[in-house]
Amino acid sequence: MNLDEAEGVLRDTSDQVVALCRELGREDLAVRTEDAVARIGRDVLVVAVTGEFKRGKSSLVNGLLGVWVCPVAPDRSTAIPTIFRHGEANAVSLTVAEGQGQRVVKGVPADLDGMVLEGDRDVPGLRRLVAVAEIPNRFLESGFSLIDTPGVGGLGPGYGEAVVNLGGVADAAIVVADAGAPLNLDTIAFVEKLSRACPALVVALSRADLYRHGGAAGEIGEQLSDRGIEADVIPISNSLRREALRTGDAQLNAESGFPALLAAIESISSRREVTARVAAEAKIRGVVGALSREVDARQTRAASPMPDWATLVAEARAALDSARKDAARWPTMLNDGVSDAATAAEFDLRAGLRRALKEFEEELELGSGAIRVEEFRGRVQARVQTELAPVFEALESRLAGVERELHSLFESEPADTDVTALPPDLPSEWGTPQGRQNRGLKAAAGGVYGGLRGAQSGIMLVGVFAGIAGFGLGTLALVGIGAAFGGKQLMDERGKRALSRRQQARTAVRQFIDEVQLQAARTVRDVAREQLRRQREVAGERAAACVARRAEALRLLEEERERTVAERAAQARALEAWRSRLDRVGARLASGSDR
Amino acid sequence: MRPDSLTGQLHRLCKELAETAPGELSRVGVEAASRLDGPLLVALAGRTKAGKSTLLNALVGERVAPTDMSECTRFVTWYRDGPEYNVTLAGEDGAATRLAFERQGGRAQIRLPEPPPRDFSEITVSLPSRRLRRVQLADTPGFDSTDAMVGARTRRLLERPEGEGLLPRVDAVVYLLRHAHSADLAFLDVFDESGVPGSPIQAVGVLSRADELFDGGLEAMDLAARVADSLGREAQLRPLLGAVIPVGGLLAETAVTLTEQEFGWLTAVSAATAEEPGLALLSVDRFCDSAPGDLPLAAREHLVQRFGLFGLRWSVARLASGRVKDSAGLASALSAVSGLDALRDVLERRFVSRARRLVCQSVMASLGAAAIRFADREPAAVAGIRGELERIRASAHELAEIRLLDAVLTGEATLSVEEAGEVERIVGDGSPLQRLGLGEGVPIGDAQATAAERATYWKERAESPLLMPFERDLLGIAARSYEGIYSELSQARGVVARASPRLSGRRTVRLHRGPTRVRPTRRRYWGPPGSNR
Repeated sequence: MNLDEAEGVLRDTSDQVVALCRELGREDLAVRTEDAVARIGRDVLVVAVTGEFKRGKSSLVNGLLGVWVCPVAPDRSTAIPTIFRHGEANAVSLTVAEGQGQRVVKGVPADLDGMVLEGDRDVPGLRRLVAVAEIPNRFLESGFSLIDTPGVGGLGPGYGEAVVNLGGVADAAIVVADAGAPLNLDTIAFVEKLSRACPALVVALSRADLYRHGGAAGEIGEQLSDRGIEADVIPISNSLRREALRTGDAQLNAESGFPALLAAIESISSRREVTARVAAEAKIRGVVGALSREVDARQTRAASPMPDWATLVAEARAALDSARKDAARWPTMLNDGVSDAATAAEFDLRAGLRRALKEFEEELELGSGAIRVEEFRGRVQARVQTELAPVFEALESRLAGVERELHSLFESEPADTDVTALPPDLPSEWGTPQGRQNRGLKAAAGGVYGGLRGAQSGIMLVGVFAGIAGFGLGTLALVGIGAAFGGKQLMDERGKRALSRRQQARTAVRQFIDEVQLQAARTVRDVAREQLRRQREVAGERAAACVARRAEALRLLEEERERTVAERAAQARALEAWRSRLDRVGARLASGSDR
Repeated sequence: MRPDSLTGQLHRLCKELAETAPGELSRVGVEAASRLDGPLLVALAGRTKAGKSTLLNALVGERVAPTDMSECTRFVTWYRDGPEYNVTLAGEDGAATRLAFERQGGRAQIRLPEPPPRDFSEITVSLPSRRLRRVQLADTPGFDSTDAMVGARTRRLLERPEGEGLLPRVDAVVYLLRHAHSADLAFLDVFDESGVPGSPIQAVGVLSRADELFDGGLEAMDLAARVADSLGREAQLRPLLGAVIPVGGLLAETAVTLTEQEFGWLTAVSAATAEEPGLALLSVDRFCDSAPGDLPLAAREHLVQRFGLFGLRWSVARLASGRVKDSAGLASALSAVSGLDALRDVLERRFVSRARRLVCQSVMASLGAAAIRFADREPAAVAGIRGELERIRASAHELAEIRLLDAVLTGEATLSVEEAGEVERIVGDGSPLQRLGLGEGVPIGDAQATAAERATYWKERAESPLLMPFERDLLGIAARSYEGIYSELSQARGVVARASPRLSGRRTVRLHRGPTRVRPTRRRYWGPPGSNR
């Protein structure tokens, strides 16, 4: 079976599956299937350019585009993801978070610098999320979308988030590293994770013009293949590319490594359909599974002897009532659950910090001799850290408990569990015209890049997406707080006697612990609020869906009661027909995936 | 050395320990005393491939440190002044083994025993070097090395629990960054908590391989200076480093080891590419594959290895413009453009000029740790040490001055640029005149008048009602420093003070008649950016 045939089978089965979904009244699954299939036919490959700080990611984007639109500055870095896609509009837009909502600022390409580069003075409270440049460009027109990303591993958020974020959005990633040296441990780990999250990977080694024969390209290739990572390693030079574009020198262009890079991307682009098809097949299998279970359930019901209608209807009605009650109850439940978790966490926090404070006060009270400021400070910080860690862990598990409870309350969809292994659907929103695009961006900004918000929020990384365990515990957090405590003058030998120094130390510890408590309590509340907000969105939908499902069940039951035996037989036939259609589709899919 | 100076007091304590304390504790006293008179111990640290060994060579002025990925860069290696070349491997237990040492093509090669030790052994290289007399340098393995043990060696050196083992701890650190990275921050931070450097007093940041940062364009070093400047302002780095200096290590190394042959080759390249200088130097491969000036391939590859693309472009441009005529001229121009001069300058002002205080701090930390270690075995002696350390800590004005400087460098206390420069100057080991910022040959009377005037200024400044209490205390320290200088001058009344030619760290005033060698007063302020308001 060749590719076209495989494609034909997939489209054919997907059409059938969509039809079955609609007939069985599962519009949601129909949309899911259509989305997955549409992704195969999508004519745009989304390529994310990522890597450490100051490696020339933005220059590489310019090199690929062949024009200088992506802002590059020696002493400022790219602050937000910037998407380049083809369009005649020749316009740029910036999405900023404003309060709870978002706002889009429009502009011309010349405005891009101010939109995406790190600013000296970012307006407080105004968080930049993502910028989009829609420009007429031959490279983009040939079927690509480029995302320039902020460097990973700088002083801001770490590698982990970048992996998750890119894995969900991009069809391929170009990791930009330095040609001058082998990859360091962090970068290797980053590439390794990314290779699992992202379907295709290219490693571009920038500044190859500074080194003989591509610098460390050979070593880096070995580093990757040692770890079983499949990726082309291509030495490139942004400055040679720029020069080549300026002079039109083909030889120079070849030396710049960009033709090789473009070829690698093209080859990914040509393989893209296969990758997308595999993903779509898996998704369709999940949907077929869900439909089968549905038909099974109905067949069981239809095959049963004439039931005790009165009891059944009473049961269904009771179920609907309880769902309605739950639907009215969940906000309270959620609020209570989350606020209980927050209260418990704050209590733990207070207790833990009080314990630590008491210990240090005793030590200062009873001890004698010199306090070594640095050592003492280190100890206080370490101690506080050990108190904070379990508090946040407990908070996380409590919040997860609340979420689980809500799930069980509304019998969440089983179909989800079948397809979670696949990357999120966001990419299907790319490259499609207005309307859907906004939805995609919002999702990309709010969910996918949500982790980035931590970068701007000061001492502690706030954001459920970053993982609660990630903040409050890092040394980063305590550096910030430590400043309040760390003024060396606080405990040094200003006074002539040890006694007064001990008193100063006590004050300092107390101040520090107060400050930590304040900050940590605020974080606890922030986390709780974020969780509340997030849960509220989903829980509302789930509750409504659950009520609707049970109402539908009751309606069906009542319909069925009205039905004659003959009708029941007819319905059984219909169910049988669905059953066999589903089986056929399933078998076809199975045979297709064997190749 | 004045008996009431910090060094003097510590010397007394060490002597007492050495003479009266029992057994092992007496050896602590002997070791601490030798540290007090010894050189400042400075470590070069950073991630792998940050250019530590290359920079070390530049600072020593000789290609002594192996710069490849050989086994030697996997050990902490000390470079110190000695009568002859000599390499030893010191085990954790203090046992020393002599190692074979040879030079190949201007590069040092050290042979390690087979198999190399898997512990915290350290290599010491002695060589006759004027530059290593006051400062002893340590080359450290990248702390993020793929071999965990190798990285651990560096951590152990910098975080070395005081007094543990027989190897001394470092007094100050030059930290090489290629760009601010969370790993660097985590490292510096640990560093801070361990009690050693972690303050701009004892740590300086270097933006290394700066020449490669901006595609090796001619303006690369200028751009690097801007990046370094903003890094130095970074809220998370400033309290740890205070300032970041851009340095092109390779270029710096070449500047101090440039040969006539290399100069000749460069001149040939410059002449051959006079028509179109950009073309042959577009990339390293182009340079090597074309044959400018009919140089053999080996020569071209050698030039690339020694200069890098930026160095080649820059040197060729310099030669072509006729601004550089001979190898000495090129060497000094390279030394300036590579940032080596600026770094030396900062090291001189930050570390060397305060060497005695930094060493004293380390010695006090070691003695404190020894007190903890021996608390059970020798309670009486330990109580004595503790009491004495406590007394010294409370009374030594030198330590108060360190606190003042730290507050200024970290930006904790906000002073004007001039004031900050003044604080940097007075907190030094130099002569009273140097600390006053006066030229030599200034009559004592005038110097005293200056000191008195400055003391009054700082006292009044400290009384400003707008200041926070801790700032008031800090400014009071400056006033007291001037009073100290005044009284030192009184002791030498009637003669002309002159700086000792070597900054020995002793604040003695030497009698001097005859031609004076004037040490230029530095007005330029290199402190943390941001205070230039």
